[in-house]
Amino acid sequence: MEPENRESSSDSPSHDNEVEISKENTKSSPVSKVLLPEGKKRNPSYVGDPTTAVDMGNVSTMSMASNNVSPKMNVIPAQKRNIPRSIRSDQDSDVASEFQLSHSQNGDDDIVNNESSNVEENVEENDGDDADEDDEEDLHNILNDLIRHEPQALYTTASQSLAAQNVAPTSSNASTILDYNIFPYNESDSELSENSLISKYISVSKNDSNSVFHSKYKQVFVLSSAGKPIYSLNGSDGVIMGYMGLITTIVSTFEETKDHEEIKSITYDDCKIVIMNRSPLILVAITKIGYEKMQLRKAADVEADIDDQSILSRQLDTLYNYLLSMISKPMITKNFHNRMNYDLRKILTPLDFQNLDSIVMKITYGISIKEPISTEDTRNTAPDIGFGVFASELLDSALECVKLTNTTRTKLNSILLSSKKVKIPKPAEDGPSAYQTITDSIPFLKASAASDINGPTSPSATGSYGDDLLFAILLDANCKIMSAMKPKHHNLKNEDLKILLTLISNQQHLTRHTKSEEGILDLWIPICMPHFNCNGFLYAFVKTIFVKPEDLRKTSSPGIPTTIVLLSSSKNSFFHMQEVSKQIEFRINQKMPSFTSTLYQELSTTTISIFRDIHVPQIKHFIYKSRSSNQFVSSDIEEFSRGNGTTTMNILKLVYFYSTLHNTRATPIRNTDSSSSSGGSTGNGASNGNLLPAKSASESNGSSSNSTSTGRNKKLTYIKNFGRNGENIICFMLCSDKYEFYCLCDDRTITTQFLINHSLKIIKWCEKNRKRLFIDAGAVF
Amino acid sequence: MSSRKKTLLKVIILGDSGVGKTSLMQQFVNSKFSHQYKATIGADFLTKEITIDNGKQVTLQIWDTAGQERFQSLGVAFYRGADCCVLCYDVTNEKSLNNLASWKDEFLIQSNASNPADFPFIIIGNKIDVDESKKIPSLQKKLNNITNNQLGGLNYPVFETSAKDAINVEPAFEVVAKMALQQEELNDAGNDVNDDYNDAINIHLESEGSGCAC
Repeated sequence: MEPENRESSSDSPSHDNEVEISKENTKSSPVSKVLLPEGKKRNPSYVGDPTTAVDMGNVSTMSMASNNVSPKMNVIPAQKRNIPRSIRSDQDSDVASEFQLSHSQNGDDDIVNNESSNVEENVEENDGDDADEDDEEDLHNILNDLIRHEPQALYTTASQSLAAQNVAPTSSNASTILDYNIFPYNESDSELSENSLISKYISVSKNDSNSVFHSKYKQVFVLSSAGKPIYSLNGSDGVIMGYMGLITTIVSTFEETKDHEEIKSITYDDCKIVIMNRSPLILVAITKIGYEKMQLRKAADVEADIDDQSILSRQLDTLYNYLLSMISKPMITKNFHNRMNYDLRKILTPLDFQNLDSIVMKITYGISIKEPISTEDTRNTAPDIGFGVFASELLDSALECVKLTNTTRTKLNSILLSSKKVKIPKPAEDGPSAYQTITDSIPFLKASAASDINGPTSPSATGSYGDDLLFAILLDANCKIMSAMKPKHHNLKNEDLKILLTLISNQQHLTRHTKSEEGILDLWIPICMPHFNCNGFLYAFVKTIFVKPEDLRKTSSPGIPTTIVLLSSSKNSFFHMQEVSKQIEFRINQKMPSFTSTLYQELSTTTISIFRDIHVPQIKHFIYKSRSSNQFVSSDIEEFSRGNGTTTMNILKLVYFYSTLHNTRATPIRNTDSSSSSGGSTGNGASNGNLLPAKSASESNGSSSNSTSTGRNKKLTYIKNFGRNGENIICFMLCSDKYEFYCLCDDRTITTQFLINHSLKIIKWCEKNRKRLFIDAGAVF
Repeated sequence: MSSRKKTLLKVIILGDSGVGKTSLMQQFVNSKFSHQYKATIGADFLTKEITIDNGKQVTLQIWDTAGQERFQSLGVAFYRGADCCVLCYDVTNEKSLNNLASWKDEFLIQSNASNPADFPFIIIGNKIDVDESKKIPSLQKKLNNITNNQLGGLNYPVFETSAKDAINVEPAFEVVAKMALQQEELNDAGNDVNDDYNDAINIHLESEGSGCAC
């Protein structure tokens, strides 16, 4: 950590810089003038107390002249300066200098440095839904307008692909993770293979070596206010300890000022550091990855400027939520009460640390990769794909659903309902099915809850098994939601569910690679749902069953795994939940053979194929989010990556493209003739962040006519990414009050006209198949 | 499950400027000694894992603070949540010996320790390698006066060490670890939260509308 007093030495304060950006904007596109007011929000830079210097011992020395630290942060002047970009470009080959010629209009341009045309447009339309054909033409005109205003971009397209071929003729067809400058580029890396690049910069490593630690793109720490480490993504205790002291000092130095300021982030050089103080815990994320340094934007917000959260701080929120889910807020408070020296690691299990690793990796890279701890230990090293976890994080905790026919989903809902109501039989009677032996070892079980579980006869002899059942969820093999049930008066927030689902998917990933003989275990997980009730625990019963129609019974095929999740309010209800799960399994697998085979069929083809389902193969990948239900679907990743590199690499690319697309500045730009009507368009009801909202909002605006109340705010974003191998990926976003649509396509195979046309086709398809793609209300009791 | 886990202890080293705090730490952690004096700016952080006699593994997180007064503004952050505090003096510098009491007071005020009377301190007299003639005259008597003084007495274990010749450094830190661990275990016994873990509040389904209490 070298001191970087750029703020003081630079003779152009941030304001000048603003002007510079604006010039660039004016040159490139008249449209982008409107983007400027953003700069006004900058905070004055903070000049720290020069005596607050900290010596890092043998780690390194840092004099903490906080010149480039903005205490309230969020908009950090240093980031807007193009210094990192130009440095990188100098190191880069000719290709990079070409990149510099191209220009992007948003303030984050040092990040997306090879994006040459990046234009957003917000269009207000007041006509009804039936105007889709007009939309298409309008949109196409707008898009063409935007691109026409980018002559340089078109010019660079041609020369860049030429340049790319000249520079790297050997790798012309091999795409690597260096493509598109997704990650910081280092001259010496060009010789490294993809795998060594990944293991050098990305894989989780708890290694003792300082250099291994420092080469990672991403760091995440959780520590106590006293500076005791609790969690670190990379590095051993010895490596990170100095930083713990340093972070504590920085945080408390701000705290002890007379205004009790809170430091939120630091940007210097190629790093962005975000600090979240949740006393007695401090969470810190550090990134060198360009797309993570962008500000988080909700596509939904028309007034984009109100939203200036950083991506990293949302990630820290997610981690904090995980900790709350596992140990709950009162527990944390209690442990630290009167003893700031408390070591929270005492009550976290090795599994918690694995889960934290996996969550961080998935929300950063869409994939979790670990260094093997020993050569024999290959169990945890298989990459764990978590693109859905990433997308959910990006899309404001939207949940991913499984494509199922409405009939099947309705049937599953009713199975959940009827299983809940099954009465506890008279003592003599046998349960309807008992062919699954239950293992009692419960790896998740912290605490000694097991000892408290009484036999099935415990609480009330007359009620139903499902009396304590609050929520039930059915998941497919990839932890996407098939069906769900909830009580009338309670809702689960997506933020809470996300943690539970990640937990389950990590557990499944681990067991998948252990090849355990003991089969699938029933899990009983005490979990706090901080948004539901932060003071208490719910108890999750988790069981994986295999959907297997009759004709497959005799074969060795294991069937399709499906996970039953039952959330109970009582810690004594393990055996009752187990009984309910047996009921569900019985109804899914045995009661109606025809339903079983239908379900089996549908579960075999849950991926959405653009090619097969929608017939617009020029679009390579898409994500469609229904805003009313806050759920999303995405197309098959295989279709994006087919014949073009490994899955890992393609996921890294997808993560980059979608992050950039989603977080590119989307300042509303109103057509002059309609601008007068656009004032009251902010309250568009996107706050519906629950799975299974109490009233299904989508029900009401499924059809056309209520557009007047909300205004139909459409906006689009178009970004062209130039690859080193001549492959240029176009990222396109279109969103309205009802949906957010993001897609990727190859510019060699698509024209703007088809881009619009095909995007609208997919959107229409999604709307038409809304009931197949999303869970509207689920089962309610 | 916790057999694998090492206890982490935060240890603060305090004392006047130049008594050899950094040298003690360097000798203990890296077995190195430098003749050059370099004032610590703010603080140094080092860790060392040691095994104490009952086979228990302990990680010491050592916070070496600057003795110079102008760095004292770091205060609370450094002292907060410490498990043990090492008070250092220089056997050739009488003033550093006399200042021990005020370092202790400073620490207790800043750290806001829950029961100051029981907080583990140890005292280290450094530089015993120097010539006898340079040492504080009748050191033992003066030291006794300080440690046995009824008012604000520093009745703590005393070690005489030489960071230069690595004399007594490791035994001193072993005692640090043991004392801190003892205190830690006492705390745990009086505040056993793991029992409470099961008494988590249940959410009652029938209590309509009260689910989202947050």
